[in-house]
Amino acid sequence: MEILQIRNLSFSYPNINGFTRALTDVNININEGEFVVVCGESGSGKSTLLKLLKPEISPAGKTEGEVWFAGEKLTSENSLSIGYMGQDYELSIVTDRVYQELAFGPENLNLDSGSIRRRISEISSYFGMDEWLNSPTDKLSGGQKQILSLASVLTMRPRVILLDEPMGSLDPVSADRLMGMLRRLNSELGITVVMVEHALEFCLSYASRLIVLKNGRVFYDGEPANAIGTVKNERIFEAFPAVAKLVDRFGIEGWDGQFTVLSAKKYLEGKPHRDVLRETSDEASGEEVLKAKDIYYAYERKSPFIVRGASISLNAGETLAVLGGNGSGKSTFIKTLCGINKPQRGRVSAQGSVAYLPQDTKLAFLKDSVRADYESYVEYMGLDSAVIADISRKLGIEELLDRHPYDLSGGQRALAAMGKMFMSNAKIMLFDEPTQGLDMGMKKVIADIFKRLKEEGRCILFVTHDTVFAQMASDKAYMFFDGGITEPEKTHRFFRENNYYTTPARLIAGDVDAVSVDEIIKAYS
Amino acid sequence: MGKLKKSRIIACLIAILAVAAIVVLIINTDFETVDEHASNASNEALESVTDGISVSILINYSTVFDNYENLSDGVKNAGVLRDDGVLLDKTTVVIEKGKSVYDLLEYVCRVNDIAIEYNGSTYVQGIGYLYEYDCGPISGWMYKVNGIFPRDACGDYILEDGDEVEWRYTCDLGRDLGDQYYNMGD
Amino acid sequence: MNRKYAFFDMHPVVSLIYFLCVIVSGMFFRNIVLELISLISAFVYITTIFDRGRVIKTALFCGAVIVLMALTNPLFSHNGVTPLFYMNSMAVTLESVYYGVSSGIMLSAVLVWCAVFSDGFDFEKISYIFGRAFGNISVVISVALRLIKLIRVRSRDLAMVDSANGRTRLKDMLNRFSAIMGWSFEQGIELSHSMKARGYGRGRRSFYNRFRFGASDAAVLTAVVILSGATIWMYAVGDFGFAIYPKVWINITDRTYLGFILYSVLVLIPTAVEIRDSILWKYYRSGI
Repeated sequence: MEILQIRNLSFSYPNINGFTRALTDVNININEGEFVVVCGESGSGKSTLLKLLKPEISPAGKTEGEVWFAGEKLTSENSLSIGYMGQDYELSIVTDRVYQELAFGPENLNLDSGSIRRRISEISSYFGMDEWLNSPTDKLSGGQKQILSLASVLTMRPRVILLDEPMGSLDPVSADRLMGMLRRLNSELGITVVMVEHALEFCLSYASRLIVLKNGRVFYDGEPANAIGTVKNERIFEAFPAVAKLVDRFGIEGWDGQFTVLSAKKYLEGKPHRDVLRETSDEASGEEVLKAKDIYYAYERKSPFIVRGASISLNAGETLAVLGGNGSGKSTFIKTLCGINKPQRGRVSAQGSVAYLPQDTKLAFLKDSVRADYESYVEYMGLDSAVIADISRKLGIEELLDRHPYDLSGGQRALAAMGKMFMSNAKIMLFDEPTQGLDMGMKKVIADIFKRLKEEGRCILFVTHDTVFAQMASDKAYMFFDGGITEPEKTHRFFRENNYYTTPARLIAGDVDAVSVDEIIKAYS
Repeated sequence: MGKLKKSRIIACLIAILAVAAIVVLIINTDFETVDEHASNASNEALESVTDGISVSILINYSTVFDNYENLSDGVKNAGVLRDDGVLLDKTTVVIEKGKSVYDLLEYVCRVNDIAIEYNGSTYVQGIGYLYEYDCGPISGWMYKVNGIFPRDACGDYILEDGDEVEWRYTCDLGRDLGDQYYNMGD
Repeated sequence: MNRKYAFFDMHPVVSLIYFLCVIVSGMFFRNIVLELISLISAFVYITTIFDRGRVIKTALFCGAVIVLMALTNPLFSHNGVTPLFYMNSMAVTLESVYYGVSSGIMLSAVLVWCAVFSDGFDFEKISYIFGRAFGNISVVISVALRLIKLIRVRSRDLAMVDSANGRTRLKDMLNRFSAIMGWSFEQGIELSHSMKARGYGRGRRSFYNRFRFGASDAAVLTAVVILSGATIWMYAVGDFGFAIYPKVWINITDRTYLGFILYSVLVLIPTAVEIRDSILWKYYRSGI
């Protein structure tokens, strides 16, 4: 039974000069019970399409064509059975307490207390929320907020759930868990799932259908496995899981059509391979620029130490990655290095200034336009204003200069923030999750920027849970664990020696010495 | 590293100012022990005033017995009331010229060891442990000079030779003492 | 799970009425024994719910209040048959010191009860009381509070990042302020989307009633009403006669003793609930 029919849908955003086309002639029919993933580069219109499926939050603009839901034209009257989960879980929570949040939707439906109680207890049991049902919402961990966000949509008993880039703010463990929950909802309860996402390595293996948008049009619509032929030359292909790239290179024979690590391993089984000569770049590292010794840090006087005796030494011309589980304290640690958190014990000494870019790049901008922000920064640092034009050209962000930082996409804003980092003369640069929510193409751009900064003699340290990016962008890697930090290891060795916390490519490669997809391809060529 | 915290300095300054204020207050206050007070009182009684005026004063609270049920527990049980309601019989006193009704009251109470509490020099709250509101919400002390109730505060009414001052306690805004002021038409 | 404040786990109406009775009676019962009963049982209660440091701080604070009032009252009130010395011809009396102490005790007791109440009776319960009548307003208020929290956290984060990058001047603070303003409008829109997406604004809203009025709620409420009523009536007819001015006097009859006992029971109810709760909790856990 077709639950969503998108018929000849076109949409344009209004702007100063008229209209900007976002979607053109989109025709999609979704059956009840499908698990649909919609992807595309930024600007492809995927978010807009999703929002048009929920009239309450549809953007204002010129719409042509129609959307039909369960046999009727979709309006705000009959859209209650469509649930929507936005990107930012923090912001979607509107009440004080967990149970109040769960009750919010049913209250809007004017249900009586008894019915509301039934729905809450149901959902709470289903997701195991009983323990923290009465907690204040601001005391929840990130993972709990994600669960709550989903649960409070489910108390409305939707038939369809729309998700807008749900992986964007999640670490791998939480991302996995969310996908597991969605899969349960889809297979056990028959809820139709439509999610827009570019972190395809997490979700493609669950999808029954893949839709790729390009420039506002449907570029591909069908089974995920069959997409490779069509998209292999597009930028979006970068985001595909490792196995897709292997199949693209070595042919479809032997592939079971799944996107999991296991199916990649099976695919490679029996194929001939050889050892790859690794280019050992043993460049002599520069002089020491930052030293932290025996750092102890706790948030408050009586609370337990988050950082317990961590020491680190950074040299010029190095790019270093710090990995660690969610909540391990790696972000807290990096904040002690730049002076945000003052350690209770231990010393940090830096030979040169330190620049820090937080996870939320919006925090890096204070003005209404990128240009204004750059100008104020240049004035503050006493630099020559010509450097603005210079940097914008180098990073290719000239057309972003006059836009408001919050209006930019995550990737564009990350680039703009990098511009500021370039302009500063800080020798030591600290980044907290620089690739959070970015697509693969963007990650490559950032890795390239790091390389350029390194060539200028700076030292870069970034905290991340993105193993693929860490492998791409760093020379050495540390693991933050149990309040302390491990000895640094050369990146490829780090990922090769780890058995679980490593890149997907490493998991696939097994005995073969490869930590990235490129290395696997080289080995099997 | 000895960093002078701004807040510490401000706190010290405030403390010094407070101590200074207290010292000034203490210096300007006149302290007496109980015995000193008594002997000062009797010494004062023996002093005579040259070139003074002669006035009379009495203090009476008999209205309290007409409203005994309204009287506060504290006064009832303290054993300070006299059955006749007379705190001070009509007494003639010689005082300096230009003194007010308040000065006169204050003087006789000091000399006769009658407890008195006043608010500034304009309002008498209690005499002889009997205070305003002790006998109902509209009770308190009022004064008459030569048979009429002046509207002035007692510190403003300057006495003349031969004035007869009566301090009486009312339980009824003055009506039980014959004061028609609050009964007059508005 | 928070096992303290078990008294506040009861139906909000019960705790609201209870504290109203205790606080109001604390203010109007000017009898030294009743005041002491109120203060002492307030302290007994807070030892069950506050940690040691806080209890000590509270005790010191109350001590300071009492001493302060004992020292300053004689400066303003000169009633009393026992003069200690004279200041500007007015007596500083022993009774006025007593009165100061009594006022201090009363004030301390009321403050401690108020502190406990404001700690335990959080917004959730307040909005419960009012939410049933003013459903829509309570949503608005709770969203507003949430937005305020978010803005506070955001400002702090922004200040943190700025200080890391060396920007700590006043001008930077102003810049941050205007940035936060812009950001908070965005957040307001996001929040409203989240609300609309779940059906907010469709007309009538119901109110989820989490607190059920059970048997123990009824029992406690009855006890509170009876005990308060009885002690208030006894106070009105004079069973608790007490005065400090002009001479200390207290009237103790058999009924007064009864009254003291009744009032003690009233003010010890929360303590009893906490103790019962922790006993039950230990019992259940040992049985696992």
